[in-house]
Amino acid sequence: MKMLGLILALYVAAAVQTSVADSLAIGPIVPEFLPALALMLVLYRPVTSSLVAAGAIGLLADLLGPGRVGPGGAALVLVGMALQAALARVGRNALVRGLLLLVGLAGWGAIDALAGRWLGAPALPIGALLGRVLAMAGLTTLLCAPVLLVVHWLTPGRLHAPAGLA
Amino acid sequence: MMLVLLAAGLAGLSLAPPGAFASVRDLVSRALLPAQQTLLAGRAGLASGRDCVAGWFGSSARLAELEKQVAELREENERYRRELGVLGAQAASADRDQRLLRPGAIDAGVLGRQALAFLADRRLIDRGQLHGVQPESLAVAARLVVDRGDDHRTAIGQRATVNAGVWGRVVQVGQHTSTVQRLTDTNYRDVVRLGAADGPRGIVEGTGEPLCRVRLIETTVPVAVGDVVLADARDTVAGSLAYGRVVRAERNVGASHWDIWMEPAVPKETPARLSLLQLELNPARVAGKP
Repeated sequence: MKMLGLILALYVAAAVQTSVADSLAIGPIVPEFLPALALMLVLYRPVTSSLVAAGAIGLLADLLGPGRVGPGGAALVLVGMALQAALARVGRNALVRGLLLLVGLAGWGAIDALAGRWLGAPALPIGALLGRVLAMAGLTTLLCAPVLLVVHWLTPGRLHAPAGLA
Repeated sequence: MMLVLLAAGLAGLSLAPPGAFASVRDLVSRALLPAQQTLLAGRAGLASGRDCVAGWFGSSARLAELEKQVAELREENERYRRELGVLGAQAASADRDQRLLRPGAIDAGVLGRQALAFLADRRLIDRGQLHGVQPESLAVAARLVVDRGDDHRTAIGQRATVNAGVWGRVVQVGQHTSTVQRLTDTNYRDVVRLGAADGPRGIVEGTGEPLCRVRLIETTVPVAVGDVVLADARDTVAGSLAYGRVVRAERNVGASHWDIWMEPAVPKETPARLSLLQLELNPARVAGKP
């Protein structure tokens, strides 16, 4: 049942990303809902399977994007691992998870952008690139805040769930 | 460790040729197509609804603005109309106020034979005032007696009119009654204008016949049947009064004036009432004078 819900959420997120996200953009800054879904999964189900799922979601995001397939998935796995480690240390309330989501999106965006730059994709200067990454992270976190609050409200028993790290 | 290997494996996929995942991309795009179309249709509907609401508010706002402008323009027109009426009245009043003589009229009843006999028996009128009046006659009278006299400031020479057409002139005034001579009477004479208030001047004279003659119109002046004959405005003060219309005009060889016959504007029947035109001094002009 939970798997079905996740697949459904993934489908909706992918459809929204490819059809509606451009209308929510602010200039060149487009929100990224698939990585956000993956990181929320990692933050609210801090187990190994969540990291695997995050990798798969990242792979799906790469397939829907114009760039290379793979760097996004890899970045989500690595960022997810870091978030779970941080989650065990700083607490698990909604604000902390929100901030971790922001940081995680920024980390994923930076790794993905730098990987693409390294693989030869046309890119902006480093400064502009990182600025856009931070803006994207902020915009996506803001748009996902309602969902984050709903998920946090629906999973109160997870507040003290132990972190599952491989 | 496993996760690190997973990340490494995913990163390794990036080394694949760019077209290696084209079929997978196509498959994923097709799988998302229904959801995308649904979301796009919903977005278009929301945009249409937003435009409709914005247009409705905009139309309402525009309509309110136009109604306000219409109300303001109506109010302004009404104000101008009032001002124009006031100015017009002031101008007319000023014009009237400047004249030395002001026209007026009193209504006079024509006395029939029984009334005349009654008044004569009671010595209220002199038989002499009936000169030319034949109360026993049933024919159309050339002179009438009216029930306005010196007690109503009736004076000799005042014109008598019927519906703005000249019927005749007062020729005798008593204390309570006056005698009015009809324009077709043989002794009747008056200055007239032919065609318009500023047309050529002539003299209308009664002939004792139903038609009057208009004389002293020079043959150099164009005259046509149907031309109106008016009393000279300078003489009436009240404006042009109609005498009648030209029914016949002849120009004899060598003659210097036209031979014109005029049909009176007033009905042939003896009227029951006449209006006697009177003049009075303008108090505004004579104020302060002894």
